[in-house]
Amino acid sequence: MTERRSTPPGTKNGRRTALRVAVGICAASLLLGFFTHGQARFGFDGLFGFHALVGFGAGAALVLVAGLAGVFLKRDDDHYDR
Amino acid sequence: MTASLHPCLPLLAGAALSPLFGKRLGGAVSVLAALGGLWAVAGLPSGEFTAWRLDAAGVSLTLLRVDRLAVLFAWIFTLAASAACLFSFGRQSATERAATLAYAGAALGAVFAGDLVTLYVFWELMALTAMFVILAGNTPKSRGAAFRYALVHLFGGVCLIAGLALVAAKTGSTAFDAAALAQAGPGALLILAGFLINASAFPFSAWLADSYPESSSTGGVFLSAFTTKTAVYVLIRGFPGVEALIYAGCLMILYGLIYALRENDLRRILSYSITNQVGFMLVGVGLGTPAALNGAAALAFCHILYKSLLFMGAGAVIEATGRRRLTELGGLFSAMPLTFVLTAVGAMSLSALPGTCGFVSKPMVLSAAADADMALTWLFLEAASAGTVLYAGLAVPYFVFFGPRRAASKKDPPVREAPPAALLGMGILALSCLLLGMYPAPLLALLPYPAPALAPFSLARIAATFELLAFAGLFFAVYAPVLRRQPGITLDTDWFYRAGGPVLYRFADTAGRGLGAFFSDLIARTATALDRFTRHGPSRLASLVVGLFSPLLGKDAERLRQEAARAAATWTIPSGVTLAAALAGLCLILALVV
Repeated sequence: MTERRSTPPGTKNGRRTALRVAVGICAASLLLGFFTHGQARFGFDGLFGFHALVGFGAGAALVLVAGLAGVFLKRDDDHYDR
Repeated sequence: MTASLHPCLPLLAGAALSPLFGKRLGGAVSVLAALGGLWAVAGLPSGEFTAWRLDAAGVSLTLLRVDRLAVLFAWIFTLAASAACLFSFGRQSATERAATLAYAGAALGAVFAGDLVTLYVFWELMALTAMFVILAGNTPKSRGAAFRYALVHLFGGVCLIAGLALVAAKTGSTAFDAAALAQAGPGALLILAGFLINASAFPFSAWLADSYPESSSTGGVFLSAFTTKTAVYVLIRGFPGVEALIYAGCLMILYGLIYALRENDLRRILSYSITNQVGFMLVGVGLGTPAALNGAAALAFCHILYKSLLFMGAGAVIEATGRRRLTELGGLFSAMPLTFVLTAVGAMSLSALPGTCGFVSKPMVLSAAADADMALTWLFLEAASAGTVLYAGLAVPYFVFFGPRRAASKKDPPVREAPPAALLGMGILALSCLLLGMYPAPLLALLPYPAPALAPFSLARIAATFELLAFAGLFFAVYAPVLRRQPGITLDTDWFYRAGGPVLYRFADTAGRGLGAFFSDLIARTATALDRFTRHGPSRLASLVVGLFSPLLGKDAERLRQEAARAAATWTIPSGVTLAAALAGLCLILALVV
């Protein structure tokens, strides 16, 4: 979504550009949400920035849980071949 | 109605014929067979009907039951099979061509099965042919994976047939519909367990990520389409509204997210993604309203499109580079720009970006959860949709096509774009994803249950999705270095039989050998004791008997005791004693008889 730029995102410059584009898209999405008043089914989901919070928060929570799972479950690639 | 061509027949005929030809001609036969299946589905008369009835051994079988639900799945199965055959054109071995076509044919047979017995037959045929598709990977790992796949699916099949037998015994019927199964008691639970194993429900989920990535680059495309979606189909038909499926689905979503986020192998990521997405479908089935069931069916339809596309992209990359781990890939954009664009369409569809088919189908399930006032479930599904962006939506295109290609060496051959036929197959699916995303009417027209249609393109919904995905994308952009995959594997539930199997074997071996040694020792001791008894027993007995009479024998007692012992040991007993013993024995018998 934000990674397909003319500057390859894998490079340092590309990464900076990708971050700027991502921030720009996020700002645009918030603006759009502000004018469309969100999509309220329960009340709380119509609050300004609710979906932004869910999107970013879900990422953070997932990375934490996946990292924690790795502490217990990570093994070498050849674990079953030994 | 027997004039209707059963859609599985062209595929099964193709499976029989295509191995007779070379790679290209055989590939053409495969494409024609899949298109024949598509043509047969298109030629089915509209409306609900049954055909191809057989009465065998007192059981009435219905091989072709046509209704809207079956037709929706038949359309996507034949479409996916056609695109997959096109993608694989000229690159499949004869075994794989036969196995993949038979596998697709068996899945169609299961979809059109009008009773539980027919379903069971095609269900097992599907497991058997899928095993051969995995075996066609032709590596030691693929052989191990195929063996484990067979074991898990045999267990699922045993659950299914045991359930079938119990249901038939209780109700006297083998009808396959929700109303009949709702009254069927414990047998229905066993059938549900059999279905859930095929749906890769946790904890019977690891077989999927264990087996699909070990197939060939073309075989994986077929595998990704049929087994789990057939399970979704039978769950929609047999168990709509079973509340437990909501929780099973949520568990699958979380499990798929965590493992896909940790995984380094490209096709294992996509395999965990299948479990994750099937979780959404199970939530829809569990909600059970017509709108939710439509959502599950539509999501299955779209999921086959974009997941087949992603497996094709992964297969093309693996074929071009010979590498399958994200830590060994990267920087392929310049060498494979078309593969990148098509894969990105699949990844965006998986993320349900507006304008793709995922945006049309996935919100149907979320909306059904909202309609049922299940705020927590809805919030979980919404957050999980954002998670999709992190594990695949952005991760797969970014880590595969951009950044440095870490493991590239000068010995590696130059990376080339996927062959034209493969690009054509991918192109058809990518175009379908985009067309249905922008003009969903054909998909909405296929939906099986009457329910108010969800307005997919309301501005509020587009804005909400846009915001959710944009911020998930921002998280990815900020934390891409953290999200970069690491070498290694994450233990899954297959550990219990992959590590537990050898432990059980060693335990059985040790226990068996221990028991063997114990009994061998026991037998040796018994034999020694018997030997001692037979050698010394008679002389001791004779000595004892004579010893009893020693007060009467006087000074000859000791000599007579020794003579008696010697006579017994050498079996030279005096005839008088033998006669007396015989008489005593006869008297005893007479006393007992009289």
